[in-house]
Amino acid sequence: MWLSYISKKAVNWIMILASVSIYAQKEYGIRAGIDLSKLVRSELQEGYTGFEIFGDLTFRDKTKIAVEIGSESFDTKESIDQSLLYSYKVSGEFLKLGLDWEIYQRKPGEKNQITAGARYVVSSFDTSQGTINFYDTAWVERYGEFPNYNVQGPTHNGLSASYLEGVLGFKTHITKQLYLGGSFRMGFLVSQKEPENFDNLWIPGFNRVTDGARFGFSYNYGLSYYLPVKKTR
Amino acid sequence: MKLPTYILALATLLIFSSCEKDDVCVENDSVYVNLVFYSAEDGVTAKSVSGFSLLDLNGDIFQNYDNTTVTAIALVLPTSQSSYDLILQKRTEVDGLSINTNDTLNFSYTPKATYVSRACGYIRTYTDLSNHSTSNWISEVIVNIPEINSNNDEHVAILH
Repeated sequence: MWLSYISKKAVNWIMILASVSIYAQKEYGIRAGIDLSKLVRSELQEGYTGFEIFGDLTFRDKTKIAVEIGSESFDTKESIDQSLLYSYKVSGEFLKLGLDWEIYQRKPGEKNQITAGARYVVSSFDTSQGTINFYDTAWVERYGEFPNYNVQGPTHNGLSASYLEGVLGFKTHITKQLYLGGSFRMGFLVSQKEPENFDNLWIPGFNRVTDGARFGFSYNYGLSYYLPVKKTR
Repeated sequence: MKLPTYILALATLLIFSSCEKDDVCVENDSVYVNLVFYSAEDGVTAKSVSGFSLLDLNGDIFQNYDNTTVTAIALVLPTSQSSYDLILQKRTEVDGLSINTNDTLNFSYTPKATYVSRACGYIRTYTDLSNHSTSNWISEVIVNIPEINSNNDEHVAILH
């Protein structure tokens, strides 16, 4: 599948950069984690399911290659007051790859960290449309709801988007090699393949897309395991 | 970049993002087919109708304008079909007797749901509108605009 292809690519990249990183570094290590916020949101928010794993590789002092791979699905609708306009479900995967820099000067022996970073993200998804009602103000004034067009709209397969992300992250050292931390992310849409006679209103990894704007906001929060591979000097 | 600068930049953008222009639909609305009555003598002078009703093919009245004079009507052509018939009935009083004269209008069209924006969703539009009609009290039905995508247009002229 698509995801396994890109995750293989990601692993290849990490391997290459890992071998490069053996030269000239103070400390390097590898981190792997799971996003808990998406699991919690899956439980709490109706229509949402999401899963994300992430990792990073410190290849130079305070610089990391970071990757997030995830899958998200969101079943939602637009209404005005109690009148449904249309419903749709987006589901797909994303791969985020980029760099993180530590921007907080740690005290000696401290392991907490604050990072700023950037990602390039590709997302691939399908959108299936449900009920479509017409926006008809004269009708809704008269009958109290919008007139129906159909109960099952079309499905759009093979949609995609790419975007850049600015990341502000933090990690708190819990115990041993375990860290708890999260990030705030601001995405900037670079390109997208849009469905015919509809829009990409929600994109996996990007979240809500605003009409006429390219910005999106997302976050994650999860548990990670950090393995320092080698320390020299 | 220093940390406070980064946080400030992010906070500013978060504030901006909370004022979303796509919360309210202002762009557009579903389209009704506007039928406007004109005089058959010259085809350009508006001529209203009184004693006017709209009937379906079974002869049941679904819109009775009673004794109000009608200059124009706005129709919804069902989007589940591509052809629609209706009867325009005119009642005239002759020597104390009321006489009903019927004309049947048949519309052919392609209904469309046109996506506008997040806040509006879909609006109803039509393409390829054409008409056939009988001519008892109506002399001619002219489709001026076969592509129905604005409520500001006079799509169909009815000459009588």
